[in-house]
Amino acid sequence: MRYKGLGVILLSAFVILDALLLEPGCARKASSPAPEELITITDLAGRRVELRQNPQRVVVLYSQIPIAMRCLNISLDRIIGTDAFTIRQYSRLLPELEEKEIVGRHFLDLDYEKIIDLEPELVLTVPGALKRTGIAEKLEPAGIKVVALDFKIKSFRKSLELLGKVFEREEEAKEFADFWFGKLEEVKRRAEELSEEQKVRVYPEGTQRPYVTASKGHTLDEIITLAGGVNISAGLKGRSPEVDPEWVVERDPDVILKYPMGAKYQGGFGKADVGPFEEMRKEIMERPGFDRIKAVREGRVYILSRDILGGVFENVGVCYVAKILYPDLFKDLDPEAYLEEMVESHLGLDFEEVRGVFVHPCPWIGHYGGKARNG
Amino acid sequence: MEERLETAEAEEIYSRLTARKALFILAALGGLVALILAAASLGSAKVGMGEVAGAIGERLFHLDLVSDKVETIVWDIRLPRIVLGMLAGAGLAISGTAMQGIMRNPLVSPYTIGIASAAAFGASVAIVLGAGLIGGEKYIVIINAFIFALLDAALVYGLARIRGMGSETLILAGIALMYLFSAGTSVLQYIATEEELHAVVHWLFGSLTGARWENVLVVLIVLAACLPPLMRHSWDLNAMLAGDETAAALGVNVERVRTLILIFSTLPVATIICFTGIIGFVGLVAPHITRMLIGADHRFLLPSSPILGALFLLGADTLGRTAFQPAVIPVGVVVSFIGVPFFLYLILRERREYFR
Repeated sequence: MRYKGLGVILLSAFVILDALLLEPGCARKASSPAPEELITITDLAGRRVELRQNPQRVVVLYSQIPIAMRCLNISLDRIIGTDAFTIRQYSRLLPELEEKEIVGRHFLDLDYEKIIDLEPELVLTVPGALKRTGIAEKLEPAGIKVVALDFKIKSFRKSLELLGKVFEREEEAKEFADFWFGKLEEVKRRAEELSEEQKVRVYPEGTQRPYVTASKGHTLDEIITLAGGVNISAGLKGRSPEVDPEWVVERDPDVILKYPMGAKYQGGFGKADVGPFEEMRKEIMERPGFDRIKAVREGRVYILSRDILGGVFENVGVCYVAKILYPDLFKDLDPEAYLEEMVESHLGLDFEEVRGVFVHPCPWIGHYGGKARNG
Repeated sequence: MEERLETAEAEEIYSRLTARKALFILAALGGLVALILAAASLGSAKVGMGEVAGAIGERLFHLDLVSDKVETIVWDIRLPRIVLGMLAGAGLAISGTAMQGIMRNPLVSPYTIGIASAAAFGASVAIVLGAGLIGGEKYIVIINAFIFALLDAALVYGLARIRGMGSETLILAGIALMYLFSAGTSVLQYIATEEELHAVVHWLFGSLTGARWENVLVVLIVLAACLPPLMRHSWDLNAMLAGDETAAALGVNVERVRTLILIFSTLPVATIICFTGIIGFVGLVAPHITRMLIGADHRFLLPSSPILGALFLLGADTLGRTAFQPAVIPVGVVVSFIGVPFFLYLILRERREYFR
């Protein structure tokens, strides 16, 4: 039972204990885990970590991680602790997280004693946490492995593969990654055929506060670019610079997209009220001088929900934005049906239960809520 | 005979000094006009002086001189920002001058009695605990900030009143409340979600980007209402510089003057910061610079310091919105970055004691 032969440092006692404690908790169809198997992986922060495959006691410290686990059919029973932010973020999709131990407010503000006390085998987090908190140095002496996953598009496939490897869900990981990138590639391919003149010019805002835009490196910029749009703020310095209103009027964008970070209401799963989004939209359209902007004159001002921006749902976000920017080119694309497919066949949830407002307005659907849909 | 001559000489010196001060006020006004013209013709949109003039002519005389876009940029975006910046600078400066006067303390600014931290607390309450009305959130924040600023002033006033409105009591009560409200804001920041925190922190940077004519109008009305009563008490403020007893002996009702000035200097500050967020430093530094330049006579200080405050804030904002255009640096940040070194330079150069 000791791993000395592999030249690892300690930790055996925890592992034995955990394996004994949690074996019955995992009543999945998967083949029974082989507790002795050690694997060496390189995580998304570039660290080599040796750990026991298929760990049963896991602490997750980022909201996207449990969603991704669920999509790979990894039982969330293995999660013994998480942070308050992760619990809140997708509470409508994963209400079971509310029963987990809370180990901090968010991945940068953690109660390390509590984590060590929970005796997890593995802590899953993101590279930013390693860089900014030194979490690995604090937990590894206690025999807890720390592995970073990254949910940016360019690292997402790798993260899924890593998750698949750690939890012995390699096939599911490949299948989900193919599903996830499939639509994205299709949108990208079709958008690439647009000539420069056909491209729609977008002014994005990434917070609730007016005039705080999103330049290169911001998720909104990434989504707009993937959807074939031109972000007029892409070249500005800083990821979220505040811009001069007269500049926006002068640049005269075709479309305005806003993600109201900081607002109380964020729409998304299970939130069907469009009222607050409509008010945000009106605020933009009524700004001084904005009546001169093409996007406002043509009513092409949209509010986006946090739930489809970034992370596991970013592919859906790209579909929505592509449809907003090029309604004709993507006439046959139905972002909501795609989201429904993801929710039903990959997350294993009933879409009717979690339907909500993801973009507002949504011109290609008459209204939201219980509208009967094919699919 | 000899004595009469001396008096005449003194009178002549006095009127010469007075003339110099009047000249200074005129020069500062001239500078302000020049800065307004410069600020109006600078910006991320390429709209120069000629077009600005055209846009103004178009709106005022219903001519057709420039494109609608230019007219919009000038009238709806640039001008309200410029005017709000001037009014905010002027209001903060005159409040600072008056408060330094009644408290006889050069460290006092409109924020010393806790108005800014109370406003910040009010705004944070709205942002973090707000009732969830999104579009209305903007107004909840403004109204909350204003109410808490006034509440703070009322508390300071109530506390100081118990001890006969002494200057020390005012300062100490104000500072105590400032800490209390800061602690409250910290607690709210602690329980805030990441996103709410972002909004709170953003509010704490003062900015003129949201300027609208409606805001300008409100600030203008409040300032117009508060300036005359402040001006009327400039002699009393001069007398109070010599101490409460001396002022009382000269027939000044010290308690009443402090109360009135406290009210009339709090109102503009509360109004300004609930629209702009917290813009520090102007209220502290504009009175000082003015005092260094023209002396401590409140009859001149009170009308001059707002001109300097306006110059300072408008200059800082113009720099903030043109230096890295089209990105905008919040004016609160610029004010500190250019204001502090300039102020330190003045302090080091100046040998005179304050309030002389």
